Amino acid sequence: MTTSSFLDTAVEVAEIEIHGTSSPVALPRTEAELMALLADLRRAREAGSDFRAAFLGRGSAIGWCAPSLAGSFSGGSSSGEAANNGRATVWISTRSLVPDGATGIVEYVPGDGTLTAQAGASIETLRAAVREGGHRITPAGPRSGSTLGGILASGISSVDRYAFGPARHHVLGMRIQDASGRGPTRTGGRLVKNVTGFDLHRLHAGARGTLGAILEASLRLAPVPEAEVHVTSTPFSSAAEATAAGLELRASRMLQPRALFVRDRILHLVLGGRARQVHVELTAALEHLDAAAPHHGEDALDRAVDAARRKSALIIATAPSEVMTVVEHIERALPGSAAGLHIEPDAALVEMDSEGLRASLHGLFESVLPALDPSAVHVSLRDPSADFAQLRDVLRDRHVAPRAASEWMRRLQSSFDPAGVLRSPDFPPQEVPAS
Amino acid sequence: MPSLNRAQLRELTRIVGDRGVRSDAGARSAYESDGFMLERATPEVVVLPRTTEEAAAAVRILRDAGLVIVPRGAGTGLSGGARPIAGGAILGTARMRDVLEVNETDRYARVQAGVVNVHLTSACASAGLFYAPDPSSQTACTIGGNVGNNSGGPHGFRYGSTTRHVLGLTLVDSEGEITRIGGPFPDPRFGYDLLGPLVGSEGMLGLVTEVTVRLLPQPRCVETLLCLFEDLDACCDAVSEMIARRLEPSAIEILDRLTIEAVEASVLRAGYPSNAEAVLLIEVDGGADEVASTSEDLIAVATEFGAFDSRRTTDPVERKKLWTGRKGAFGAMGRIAPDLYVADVVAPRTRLREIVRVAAAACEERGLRLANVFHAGDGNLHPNISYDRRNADEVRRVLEAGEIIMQACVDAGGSLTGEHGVGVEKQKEMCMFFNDEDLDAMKALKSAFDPVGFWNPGKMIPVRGCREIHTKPLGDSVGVTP
Ligand SMILES: Cc1cc2nc3c(=O)[nH]c(=O)nc-3n(C[C@H](O)[C@H](O)[C@H](O)COP(=O)(O)OP(=O)(O)OC[C@H]3O[C@@H](n4cnc5c(N)ncnc54)[C@H](O)[C@@H]3O)c2cc1C
Repeated sequence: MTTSSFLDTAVEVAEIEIHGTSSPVALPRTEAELMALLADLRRAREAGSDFRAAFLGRGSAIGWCAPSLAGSFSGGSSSGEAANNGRATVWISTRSLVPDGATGIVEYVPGDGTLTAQAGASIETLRAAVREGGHRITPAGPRSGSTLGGILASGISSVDRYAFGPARHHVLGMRIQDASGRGPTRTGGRLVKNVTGFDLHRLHAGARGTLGAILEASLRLAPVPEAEVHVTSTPFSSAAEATAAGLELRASRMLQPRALFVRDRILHLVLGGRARQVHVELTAALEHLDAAAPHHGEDALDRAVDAARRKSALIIATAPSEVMTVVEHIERALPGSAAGLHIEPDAALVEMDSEGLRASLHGLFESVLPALDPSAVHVSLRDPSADFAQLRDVLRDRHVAPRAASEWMRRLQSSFDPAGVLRSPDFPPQEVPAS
Repeated sequence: MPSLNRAQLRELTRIVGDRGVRSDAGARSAYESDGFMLERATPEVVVLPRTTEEAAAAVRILRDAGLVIVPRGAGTGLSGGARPIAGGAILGTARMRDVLEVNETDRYARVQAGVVNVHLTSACASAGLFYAPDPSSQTACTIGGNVGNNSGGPHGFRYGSTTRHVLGLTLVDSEGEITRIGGPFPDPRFGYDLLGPLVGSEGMLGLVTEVTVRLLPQPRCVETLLCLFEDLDACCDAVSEMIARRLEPSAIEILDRLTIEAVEASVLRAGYPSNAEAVLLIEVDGGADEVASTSEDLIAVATEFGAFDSRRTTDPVERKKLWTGRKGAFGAMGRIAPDLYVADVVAPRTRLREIVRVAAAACEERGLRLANVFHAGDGNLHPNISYDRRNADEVRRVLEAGEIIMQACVDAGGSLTGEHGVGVEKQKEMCMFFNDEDLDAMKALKSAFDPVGFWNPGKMIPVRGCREIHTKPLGDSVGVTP
């Protein structure tokens, strides 16, 4: 089934490559067109058509950060969750809502440090525009090809979370088009402080478009620091050793890093702020680390983000105090796995890429997973490929969500999308109430 | 009107103990309002559980009795969020005061919802950590109340409001079911980010009984600045310029002359100068060199905008005094007037002076006394208007001035409330900011958590549609009975 086969709306459809296959994507040009398209889809669902609609920016994040959107993955199906698997997908882009040649910027107020932009705006364009005023967008990083809406909807954060926290902490408000038949709705505002009404924008951030499309978002911007430097250690003999060094720097509190992570046995550190402070902290860092020549300049953080660029297949989230145990387990059980590892000691994340995962699947089953306490260590799989089907099943059984929380999520979805037009989120299986 | 029968009252008492149930008229009258004194109602019963399990059991009984519930912390809220619903129950956290865990390595704390904000800060001080949100009411308000209102504080300028610091919480819902959401490591997480909408939900989605919060390492160095101005306009402009230059102190507060006088006349005397029309109270924290560079730049801006003196201190005793004065300012003003209306609006930080002037004019025209003390760095204004609630005409003029200030903020692209919440105070004014469809989306959230309208009903979301409210003349929409 293609997008246009059951739609009355005169919405332009283009073929875009998604997951290696060419797929039709609806390109509404105005918010009114998007609303009409959603109304069509509601009617089609009510008439019994079996499909789900999914929003995308440019589709750059589909398949790794938003596995539930990837065609072959049906998270949570064992819990009776409506599986997306096998259904036709109607892709809808928010990119086309930005008129040709326009930036998508609704309002940039340098004096207030805030930006409001259309969801379909290219993140590169936005970064360049606020750079002129001495500002930055959180999450940092070039990540070319993404749209603002895609980044917010998929809940991506970057290594700058060490200093700035996750991206959703910087969202001040949104305009949303849900699938209820309502027109666009507003939540939050454009200013740095505001508690008027419920915070629905944080709900939509990370909801992967399953509650509606983000049309517009307002962000709090961060100043470009006076000085910034990217320090890379010489390779440690193991990822565990590099992690230990990172944890030690974190605990010593002598530095205020913007980012601190381990990649391929190398410890990366970004220091930024007032020039005098950065100088002092750099000197201190170099006393503690064997490091290559540090890279100074405004692109220091971007370089670090580039170095951290990865397509993680497996994400292990725990507490900082558990990170060493996790890394040691992995290295002990899977010698040679350090190459694919990305570790953020403060955010307590250990991530492995698909290649590393494929090579070490056996050891993971045999010794790593059994050693990690499910109540303290959360493991999730981000690679939708069939190679990891068994792992997916094992992980699904490891974690359950509280009954009530699943129920709230389900009710939220059905009130924002009563006809079931949109993709289902990958809800985890529900906890079985103790009898 | 629904009420508890004897057996239900006995059962409640069995669960929470004698001290946990207040059903006599005298005790209940102490709960008639919160910090928003203009509206009162008497609860049918006040229940004060000690644990999450007790709270859940109490909820089941109250639900069976058909009573709606208003969650309550310390009742310091200024928008009526914790004001009882006549005939309903108050479920308070006053006896849930335990700090359950402070984890130094993982930098979080788990507390019962009734823990007083400042007690959390003291509990983690020996680990070299601190809890960033610091409302001026922090010696009384609870962490659960802070979650309810997504409260801010002076240091929110750098660290953000409560929502940025909550990692997890335990919620008792309308079924009396206990649910833990998030935890010390919330990212990545299951499904939707439910913490987002729960923080700031003003007690309308359930009772929060436990909260896990992020703790931060104490700054290595702190410096406090006091810049004195002959004129409030210039002081506001200096702040706009500090923001425009992207300087990053941790707090930027303005106190005007009337506030200074009130503080200096009280036991909280902070040593604020009597010869200034306005002062900027600024704090800078971080590494020693960062603090020095930023302080120098801030003072340069203040001087450029007409500050006639700037004082700096790193002495902890001196700092504490300066902040005690600031945080006690509302209280100090309360002592020189019978009642105080604390407005809470947000203006774009580029337009501070303009909105402060609107407030001054609105009060002057109505013969009202206005003092300003506010989180200037966030554009979060608190025009404080003194009045006497026994004087109905004065009350009317105060509310009128309040509405003019709100409208000016909304027109300038600002918002209705920066930290005190909507509650009952700004319920109708929600229509200045949102339309019916926006509010419908909020109702959808409300009913996902609370399908029967059991928690704090009739608050925040206007009872009538905005279109209906807008067809009435502006003055008429202020329907508060003092
Ligand atoms: C002198 C003074 C200064 C103040 N300064 C500031 C300031 O600087 N910044 C600021 O943000 N506010 C300030 N406030 C307002 C107020 O103190 C805050 O809103 C505070 O967070 C309220 O906490 P509380 O424990 O008193 O909550 P309450 O007033 O009891 O309740 C507040 C709201 O939260 C809900 N609630 C309370 N506990 C729970 C719970 N456990 N579960 C679910 N919902 C709950 C209530 O139903 C209500 O809607 C000030 C107030 C005063 C009187």
